[in-house]
Amino acid sequence: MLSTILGNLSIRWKLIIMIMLVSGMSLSAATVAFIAFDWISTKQAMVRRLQVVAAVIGDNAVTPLAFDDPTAAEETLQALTAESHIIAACIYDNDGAAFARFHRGGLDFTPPQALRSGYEFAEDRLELHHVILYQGEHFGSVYFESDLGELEDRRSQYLRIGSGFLLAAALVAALMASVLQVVISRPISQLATVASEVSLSRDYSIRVAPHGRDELGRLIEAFNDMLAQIQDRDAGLERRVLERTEELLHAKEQAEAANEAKSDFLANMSHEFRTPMNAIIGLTELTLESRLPPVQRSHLETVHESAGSLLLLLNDVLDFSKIEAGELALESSAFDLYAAVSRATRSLAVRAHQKHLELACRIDPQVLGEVVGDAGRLQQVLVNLLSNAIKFTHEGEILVEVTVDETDDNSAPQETTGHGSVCLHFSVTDSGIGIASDKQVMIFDAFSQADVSTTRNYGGTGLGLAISRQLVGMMGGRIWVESEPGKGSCFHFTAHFGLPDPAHPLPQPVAPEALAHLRVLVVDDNATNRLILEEVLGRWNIVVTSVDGGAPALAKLQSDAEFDVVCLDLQMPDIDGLQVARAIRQTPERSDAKILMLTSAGDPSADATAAELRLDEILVKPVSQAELLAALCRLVATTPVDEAGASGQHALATRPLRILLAEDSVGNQRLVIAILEGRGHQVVLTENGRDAVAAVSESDFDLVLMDVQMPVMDGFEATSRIRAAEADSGRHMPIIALTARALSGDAELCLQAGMDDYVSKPFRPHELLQAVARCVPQTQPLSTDSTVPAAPAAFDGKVVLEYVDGDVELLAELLEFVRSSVPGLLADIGALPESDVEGLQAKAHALKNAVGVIGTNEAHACALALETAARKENLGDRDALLDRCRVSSAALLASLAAFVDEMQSS
Amino acid sequence: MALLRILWLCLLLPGILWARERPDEYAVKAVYLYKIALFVRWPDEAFADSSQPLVIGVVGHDPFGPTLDRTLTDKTLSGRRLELQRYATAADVEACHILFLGDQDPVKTKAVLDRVRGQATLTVGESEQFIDAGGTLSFIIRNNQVRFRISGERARLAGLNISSKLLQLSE
Repeated sequence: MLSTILGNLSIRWKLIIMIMLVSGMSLSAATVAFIAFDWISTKQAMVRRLQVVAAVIGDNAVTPLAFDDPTAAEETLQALTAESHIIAACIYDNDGAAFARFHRGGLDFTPPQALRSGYEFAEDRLELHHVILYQGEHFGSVYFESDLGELEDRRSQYLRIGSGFLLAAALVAALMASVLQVVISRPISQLATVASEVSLSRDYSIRVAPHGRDELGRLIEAFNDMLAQIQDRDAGLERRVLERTEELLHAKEQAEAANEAKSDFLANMSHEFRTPMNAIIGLTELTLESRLPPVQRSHLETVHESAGSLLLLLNDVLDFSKIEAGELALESSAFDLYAAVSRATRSLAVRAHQKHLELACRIDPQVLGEVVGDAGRLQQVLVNLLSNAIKFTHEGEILVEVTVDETDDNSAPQETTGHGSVCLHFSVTDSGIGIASDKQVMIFDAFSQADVSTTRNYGGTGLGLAISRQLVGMMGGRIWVESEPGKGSCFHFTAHFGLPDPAHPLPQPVAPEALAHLRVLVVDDNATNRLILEEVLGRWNIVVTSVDGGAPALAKLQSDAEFDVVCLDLQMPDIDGLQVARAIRQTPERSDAKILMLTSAGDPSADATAAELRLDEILVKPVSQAELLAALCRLVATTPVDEAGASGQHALATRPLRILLAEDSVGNQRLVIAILEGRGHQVVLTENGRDAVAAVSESDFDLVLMDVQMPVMDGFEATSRIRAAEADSGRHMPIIALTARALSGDAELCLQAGMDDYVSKPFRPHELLQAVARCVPQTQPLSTDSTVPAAPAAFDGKVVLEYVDGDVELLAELLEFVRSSVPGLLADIGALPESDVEGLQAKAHALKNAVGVIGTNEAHACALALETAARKENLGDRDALLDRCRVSSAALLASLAAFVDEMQSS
Repeated sequence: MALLRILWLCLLLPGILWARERPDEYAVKAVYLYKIALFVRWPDEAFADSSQPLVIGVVGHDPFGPTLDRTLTDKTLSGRRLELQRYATAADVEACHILFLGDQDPVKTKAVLDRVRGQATLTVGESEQFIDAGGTLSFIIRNNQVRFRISGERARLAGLNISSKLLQLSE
């Protein structure tokens, strides 16, 4: 308790208390000792004085005693009245009898018995006996009794003086202590203050003022040294941190530079790959447009699709780097799920066939045909899984299944259409080598396969599953695998898709009425394929009979059963498709039966036998629903309703144009020329930007197609030169960029360089034609006068339909484009400050292009007038023109929407 | 020690007797003769050597009888033995230190005093006139008690040094 209180006191008070305690105690001890000593010495002095008195009195009493004269003796005793402290005295004779006596109070006191010399302190008095001797003769003795008043007086006096002295000394000590403690406590409190200040402010440059050479001085010096060391260390640390930061910054810059180099490299590689790929795909497509024998067509289609797969593979690498960089964005548009799955399977049909694998595809009837999402990415995932399945399967079959994921209770994470969403469950089942359970998680990591030896045996980058997992994740689903080594694997994934706008459904392969009640015999040894065919044909109200081999098929055919079409699998054990076909042809009753042969790609004998056996249709497995429908329709001499849509050929009719092509790749030159000349356009070819600039200045063109990457002068620079030359003339040459850069930002670069539009390689012919049509209105541009052009063309559905070559789907797309871009542009123009003439010109130009995608009309003319006015900086009618633009654009949108609805419902 | 006690009793004895039996005047005077010697210092030439006894003489009539003898027996003074001499007449008087004159006859007194004049002898008488007659110390009776009168002058003339204590008691 006391030690706690003492411990918490400041050093100042501790010192004062200590000094006070020590000085007080020593002073008290000294005072007590002094008083005690004085007590003793006073007593001795009293005794001595009394002894002297006794001697004198005794001496004077000698003769009275000797000559028996008590009167004289009493006279002698009377002298004691001067000695105030002597209370009583008595003289004894030699017989010990009282001879003379004295008492201060005059009392008749009884003297004690005479004794030898000596003294004794009684309680309140001093008693003394003294023997009287003279000349060696004994005469008697005296007795004295003295009070201790002197002693008491002295003691109380000394106590008073002592306590006063003690008090005064304590006061002086306290004063001195409080003055002197500063010598010790001040440096300490200074030290404490500075220490807490340092720890609070973390400022290690603070120092304590130096202080002498004593222990405190040394402590302060050591403390200062310590601070200096910390400061030095901190400075060192700071320097090191700075150095490290600089190093890190340097490293970061290097890494960024390396990353940029990588991106550039990828972009360049992409270009180098895409340019030849473009030629292959494009020319294949052109060839496919011509009439071809069925087998050649099938081969060529496989080439085409394999090229597409190769492109996809190439995209894998790009995708992976994009995903790594977080730059990949999914598209969101309506697509035909059946077609997408079919495209994915067919691109791998060749490889499956080469390994004699059955590749089957089953889509649950509950699955909607049309969904909204990224078809390309879905196909990519399917192709990845399928190619893996084919790669690791040596015999048996591979089945793709699509069902609605009923278990999914998760609301769609990427609902983009506003019409709800659906979660689909895809699975790819193979009968391959399987995957050990401990590798099943690992295989989805980048650059890892189940086994190192796998890479050696089967090849592959190991990227496919990693990309698939990322893509599936972006589609709001997950991917997993069930597998047992030696028995096969089943890869599952789920993905969320939006539901399409019911007002704008995609054209569906609706089975024509003629197919209903058609009787079809399905002959296939593979149960899965049979099941799928039964299901698909059943959906079209076709009466299906299926058998599992050649023998039962022949048995069926020899029965009474009627069949309009026999659907034959070519490869079957024992009795194959050809033998069955031959048997049919040799049976007179069955001679009118149509034969639909399902074959695998790459069978060289198919062509010859097709002719010999008069096979009506040969389809390469896996067969898509659309193909099957088309083939069946041809067999019953009906046309499928969506032939135009399924063909993918969206010829865009424009007036014959004079087009300048700047392109260095021979393959692409041929492709573009073939596409454009096939439409009656005249194409002038230049091989680099410089030649293109020269050509534009020398002669007149309606349009320039500009490759971005060219030797001598690239497309960007050529465009800016052309635009610079135009500044005087007021003309505007439409320029379309042909870019192979799939990386983001390229489109923006093209538009910034002054180009009007761009087409990404590889492009489909109709994509190029669409772009051409967008940039070049069908009619001649109106006069560049600032006045509003008179009587612009009213909305004419027929003209518009001609413009899109009768393609309602394309028209719907264009409508969507106009609908999505025009209001924003109008708002942008309205928000522009009046001084921003350049901005107005650019926006008006964009508006003009937007409303002009379906040909010229009133809205197009108004936008053109606004753009022209802006270019000439003649803006008196700016607001009026803008109003007209708004009104005409709204009218165009309304008319167009109504027309599209009408066309789609008819 | 036993011897000392006997001596002590001897010293006390006369007093005791006097106190009890109302001792006669001369017993007291005998003691006084001895005690007076305690307070008187004789000149050095009064003694031949340190062993020579102090001589107390009684001249003429001897009123003490054996009392004096008893009193002085075995007494010493500063280591000296006390010796009692009796003289019949003045002519018999020899050198002595204390001389008691028993006769009241003035003629005889005069003869004795003349005889010891010039000698270091303390003369002791018994009358009021003794001092006037030329004596040094005289016993007188006051209130029925023995007192004495001393002439300091005579003592000095005789070369005697009498203690002031003794002089204090002189009347």
